[in-house]
Amino acid sequence: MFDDRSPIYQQIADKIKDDVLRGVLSPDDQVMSTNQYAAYYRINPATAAKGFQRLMEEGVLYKKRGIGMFVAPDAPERLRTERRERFFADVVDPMIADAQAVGVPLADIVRHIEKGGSR
Amino acid sequence: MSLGVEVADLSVRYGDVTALDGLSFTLAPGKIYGLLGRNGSGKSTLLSVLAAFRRPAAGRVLVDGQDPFENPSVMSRICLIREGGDLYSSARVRDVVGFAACVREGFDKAYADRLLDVFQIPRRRRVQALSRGQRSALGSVLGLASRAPLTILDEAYLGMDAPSRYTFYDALLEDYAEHPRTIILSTHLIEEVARLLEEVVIIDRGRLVLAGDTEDVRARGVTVTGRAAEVDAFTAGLTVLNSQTLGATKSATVFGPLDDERRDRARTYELDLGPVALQDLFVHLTRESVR
Amino acid sequence: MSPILRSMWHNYRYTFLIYWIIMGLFIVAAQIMVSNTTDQDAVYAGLTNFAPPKYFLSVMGVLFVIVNLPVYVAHGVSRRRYMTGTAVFAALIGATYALISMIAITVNLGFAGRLDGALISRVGFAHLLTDYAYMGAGWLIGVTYYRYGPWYATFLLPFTTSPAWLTDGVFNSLWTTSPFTVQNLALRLPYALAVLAALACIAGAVAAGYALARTVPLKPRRA
Repeated sequence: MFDDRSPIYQQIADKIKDDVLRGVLSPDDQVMSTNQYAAYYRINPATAAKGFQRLMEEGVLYKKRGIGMFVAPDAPERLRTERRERFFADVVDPMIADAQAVGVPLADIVRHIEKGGSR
Repeated sequence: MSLGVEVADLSVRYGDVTALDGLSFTLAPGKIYGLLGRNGSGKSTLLSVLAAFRRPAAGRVLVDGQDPFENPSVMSRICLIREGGDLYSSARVRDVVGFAACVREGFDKAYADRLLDVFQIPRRRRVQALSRGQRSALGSVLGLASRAPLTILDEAYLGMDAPSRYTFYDALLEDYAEHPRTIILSTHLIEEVARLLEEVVIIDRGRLVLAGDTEDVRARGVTVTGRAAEVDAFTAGLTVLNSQTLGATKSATVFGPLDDERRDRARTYELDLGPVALQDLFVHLTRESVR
Repeated sequence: MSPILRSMWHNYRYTFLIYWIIMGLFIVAAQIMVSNTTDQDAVYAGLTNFAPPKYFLSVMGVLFVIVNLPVYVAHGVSRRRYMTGTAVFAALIGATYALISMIAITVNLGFAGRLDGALISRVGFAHLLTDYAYMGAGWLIGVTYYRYGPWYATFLLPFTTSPAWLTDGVFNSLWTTSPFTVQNLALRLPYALAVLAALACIAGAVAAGYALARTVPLKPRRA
């Protein structure tokens, strides 16, 4: 379920973000409680709470006192913007570095993309 | 409801063998702790002092701010389940549970009965006729159902098969969520439980190696991989727990934390920084050569 | 009833039951045998001085430490609380055993046509104190073995058994004698003095037993 590459609370936050981006969780949907989350993934409730705390700070979730946590109305849009901003740094730059290491000219990559990938 | 623990300069000796040697740490109430240590590191001795099973030779232990030894109100709020259990071995399972329900304040008999079913422990079987895994499961049942504000399980799941262990983890988390309390799990098998633990205390040879938030401790371990000369240059001045060489490539496990400046330096040296599993970190921290 | 008293009764109720079934059968058999094979008026109580209960109770005293104490402490009961509860329990079973012995002696003496109220009450009270002294000795034996291991504890046996043999001595009731032969012995403490001496033995056993158990560490568990 989780790996050791990053802290588990970070991975929990990322999972929920993915769910929001893919529409599994819609705006104003209630998310599982920290205890449910902890039980489901067999992790310490405090770790789950830390992940949720992070998402609240980032404005992805909001809390209704005594009821639970909900997906913020603008969360999908906010996450898409954030991912777009990181897209070049996270996806394109490493690809270019890889291409240069094995000697694929940039022009070939551009042509490949323009043809619509491998299809 | 939950009890905090304070251990200060604690020493315990068995004859001329020193089991604990000036151990100090503090546990805040209400968390799940992991006490990690190799066999013979002093884990069980430490726990038996916490639970007032024995007195320290020097130093002190405070539970809820009081010395637990022969302190009836504190003792009744502590439950230590030791490997093998402190039970009448010729008694039947149902009598063992009945006994605990009679003697322990706050023991939840109905919950214990439910857990016996979940773990599939035969009620009419005598303790001595149970398998090792079943005995461990019975210990876990008694520990969880005690609802003790300080619940300590010493090597609770030894001999349990994988399904029973997962049953135990699920029961523990569920009951902890409903009845928050201080829980200490001692173990040398870390892989599976690491994620259940909010904080860890690692001891070795009766001394404290480190204590802290599980995630923080884990994050301090970093593997550095790259060309040997550059790895050596990078790791100079750091605590190197372990290193391996494969041809021109060297991989070193360092015990940080690494600050941003160092991480930048790793990038310029073209070194790969990788995570270390808590289990591996524990092995490196408590291995003979580091001692 | 305190949880300790209740659980101790629960622990041992079948042990007591089995003991008294065996003893009952033994008493009846001995009585039949004696009345059929001899023409004496010797009765069972006369032959054995009703000693078996005290030996059984001394074993109980050992078990109270070696078997029960660690389990109670491991269940969050302080040693002191356990000992207080167990002292009451021991007092009750000692009294019960002494009472049963007294009834048996009364019946036996009745058969022999030797009913003597004063003798019966004196012997009964001596039994009570003897039972307590034996239990105290058992506790001391148990706690020294548990705490110091077999070597030291064996060397300590003359002391740890002393409440038992001293009490036997002052009542002149070692198993070779009996309430019937007591009158024939020249050397004999006045009864009141014997009771005082027995009480002192019991008090000593309780004090030493309490002190040794109050700080006893539970043994480490080895898998």
